[in-house]
This record gives sequence, structure tokens and C-alpha cells, in this order.
Amino acid sequence: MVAEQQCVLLFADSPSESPLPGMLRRKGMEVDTTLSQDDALQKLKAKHYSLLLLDFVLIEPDSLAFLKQYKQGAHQSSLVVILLTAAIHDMKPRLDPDLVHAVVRKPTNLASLADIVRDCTTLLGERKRLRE
Amino acid sequence: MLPDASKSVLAIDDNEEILLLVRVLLERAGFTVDAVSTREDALQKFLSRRYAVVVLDWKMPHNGGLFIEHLHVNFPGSLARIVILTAVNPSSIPEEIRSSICSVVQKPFELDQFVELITECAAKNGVSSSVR
Repeated sequence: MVAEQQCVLLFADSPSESPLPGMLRRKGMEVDTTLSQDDALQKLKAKHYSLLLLDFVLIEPDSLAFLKQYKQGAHQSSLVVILLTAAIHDMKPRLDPDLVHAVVRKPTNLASLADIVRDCTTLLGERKRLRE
Repeated sequence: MLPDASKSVLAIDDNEEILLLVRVLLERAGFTVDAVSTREDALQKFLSRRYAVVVLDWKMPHNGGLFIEHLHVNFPGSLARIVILTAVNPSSIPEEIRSSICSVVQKPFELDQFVELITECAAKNGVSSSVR
């Protein structure tokens, strides 16, 4: 039985040439990218993502409004949320742990992060198959 | 054959995404991880084998504090293996608990820092046959 391809959504708050989408795709994941909250929310509602990566330079008080709205919509299943940021000490106190599960300090080893994302999505895929 | 106790972790959290992340991170670091989401399952696991570290959500149903109290009363010395995960300010955890356990980690946790902390905790708590 072929394993279903796991989907990751990458939301970067500023355009960048991150190698992360390519790295994740080479590891077998389907990756969508977005630059806006509205688009992120639409994507989350339209497709099942296993993991949401937030690549933020700055977090404003309403930066995660889309995520709060999505979670209040009582959709499915698990969505692991990881925030990448260089401003970790500034941001951490403002993060809602019910919305963001973990943070990664930038710069970081992207290859290692890609492996972590792959392992998370693989486990989530297995769990989803067991429940179906 | 039972896994090496010095590299065994018991993770207890009612949040499935957190449990998954903890499991992925620590397994990649060479640990064997048992992940459970209820106090009853946690106690069953704790009684069944030895763990170098117990990662425990402070606010899980039935109160992480009660679980710690149970361990403190029934398994003296076991508190040094506990790492608490908490969404609230760590200073809100009673001092007598904070001073007895290995560490407190505020959610959302930083991936690399979390793995380092668990590794240090496991190294400090070399598991002997006489101490559960």
C-alpha cells in the first residue's frame, strides 16, 4: 500500500528564497506556500495539512489570528505548528502555546528541520490511516 | 529485550501534537519514547519499566501535580527524573516541586534546547536497578 503524501503549509511573512520548500519536497512531502493570513486560512480549510511552518520575522498581536480562527472552526485532526524565527526571545512571551507547539531559532540547520518535519508528517499519516 | 533504561523516556501529555513532537525529537536523539495521554496509562507505564526521564504536562487532565505527588510518595527519588512542560509561567509551579524535579520547560518549547535539556537530565539520572 502506497503511503499517502503528507502535506505541509509554509507561511512566510516576508518573501524569501528559503530552500525549505524544495528540501521538504525532495523528502517526499507536498508543500504549499503562502504569504498572507487570508490565503493561509483558505488553504487550511481546503486541504488537510499535517504540519504548518511559520517563518516569521516579526510577530504582531494579530499575526496568528488566522490560526485561531481555523482552530475555532473545529476542523479535523492534528496540525503540528512550528514557528521559525530569529527573534525568539521577543516572540516567545507572545506565543499562545495552544496555537504554536514549538519554535526553532534561526539560523538553523534546515536539513535537520526538514527531517523532523518529515518524521512528524510520517507519524501523523500512520495515525490517520489507523483511525480510518 | 527491554530498551536501555538510560535512554528511555516516558512522555505524558493530553495534547497529541505535543506528544508527537516530543516523540520525534527524542527518538531522533537516540531515545526510546513511550508516549501516553492519561495519568492512568502513565502510572501503568511507570510501574512497568524504568525511565531516565519523565516528561510531564503540568496541566493535563487529572492534574500533573497529583501525578508528581503520587510519585513523590510512592517512589522517593523519582522526582529528579521529571521534566515539566507548562503553558504557564514556570514560577507558578510550587517551589517545593520545582526544587525537586529536573527542570521546567515553558511551552512552546525550542526544539534544540528541549533535546539538550532531556539529554542532560537523562545523563544526570543514570538509572540503577535499585531506584525506580
